[in-house]
Amino acid sequence: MSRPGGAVVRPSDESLVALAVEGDEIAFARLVRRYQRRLTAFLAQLVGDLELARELAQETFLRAWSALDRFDPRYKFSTWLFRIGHNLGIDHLRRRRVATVPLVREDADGEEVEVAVADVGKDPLEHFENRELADELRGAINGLRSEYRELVLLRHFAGLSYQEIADFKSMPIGTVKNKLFRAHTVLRKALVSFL
Amino acid sequence: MNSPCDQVAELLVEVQGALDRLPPEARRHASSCTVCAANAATERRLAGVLESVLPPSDPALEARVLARLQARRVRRSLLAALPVAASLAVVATGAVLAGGLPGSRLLGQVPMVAGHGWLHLLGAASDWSVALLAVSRTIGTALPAFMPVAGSAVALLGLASVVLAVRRWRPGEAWRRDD
Repeated sequence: MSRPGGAVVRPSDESLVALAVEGDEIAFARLVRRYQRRLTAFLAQLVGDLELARELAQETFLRAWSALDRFDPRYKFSTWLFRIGHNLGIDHLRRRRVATVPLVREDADGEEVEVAVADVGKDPLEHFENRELADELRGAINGLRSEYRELVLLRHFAGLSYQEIADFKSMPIGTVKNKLFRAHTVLRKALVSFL
Repeated sequence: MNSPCDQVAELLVEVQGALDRLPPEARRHASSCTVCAANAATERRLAGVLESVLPPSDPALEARVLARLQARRVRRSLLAALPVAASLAVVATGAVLAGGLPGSRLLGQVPMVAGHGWLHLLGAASDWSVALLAVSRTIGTALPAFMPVAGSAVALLGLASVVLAVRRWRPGEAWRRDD
């Protein structure tokens, strides 16, 4: 899509959703293209398996398509899409609970946190060339308290704004700010040699 | 968190270290504070690290989603036609009960029937209609006299269902819904 002057106009999510609701598969495909990378990254960190995350991302898009006529346009499409993906990922983790090994460890604040480490599947950071950093990052993210980890995933992998995260989690935006600040403090300590 | 540096630190997390996205007052402080400047640089690097671990785009995923949508569309279209087919079956049943479907006599009146091989198929259908006619006649003699009336009512009901089903048939909606 371009203007007479040659400038490329990026259609908004809202306009693409409106077309998709009418059955326009091409418009929906553009939404898939727009969000698949972040959704896959988000799910990969959530379930700890890149291949599984791709399958879940595919299922998320199919469910979103099926439920488009129930989508409330007052909310952002991205928030709604990631909520569907999040629910799918959580459902999967619940079903696979027997295949995870719960660990208790101390975080940087000295508090005990339970870490569920998936014992099967493909490393979500396997594509990452800097293996040392990938290992540190994996350890740092897994080492976060679950409430922090989820916010970090929503912010940096899903790419949601603070307000969108507040809507997503139904929590005050001040709480989101505070928790992300604490999460960053922990991540910065863990990754100090790479920053 | 009271000092200006602490307040700016929380804001820097939100803007991922981009000083130009800070509110004016915080930006003024950060531009003259070495601690905040270093803090901003670290936040930018952290954001970069987190951004860099996004997996590469998977073009096959988009293709797979579209293929699944296409398959679903075909399936839903067929399902959407079911009410129409069921209504037609009701019409046929009613017609049989009311006295039979038009048989070979009608076909025989069509001038093009003779000498056209492609009408073998219609001939076979005609044979079926003769059989159906015989069945309906048998039913007519075996069952009470009100059966043809009931059959006509069923046929009319079926016809009304066909009209209703066709009017309600909105394929674009039907194939997209999952449940």
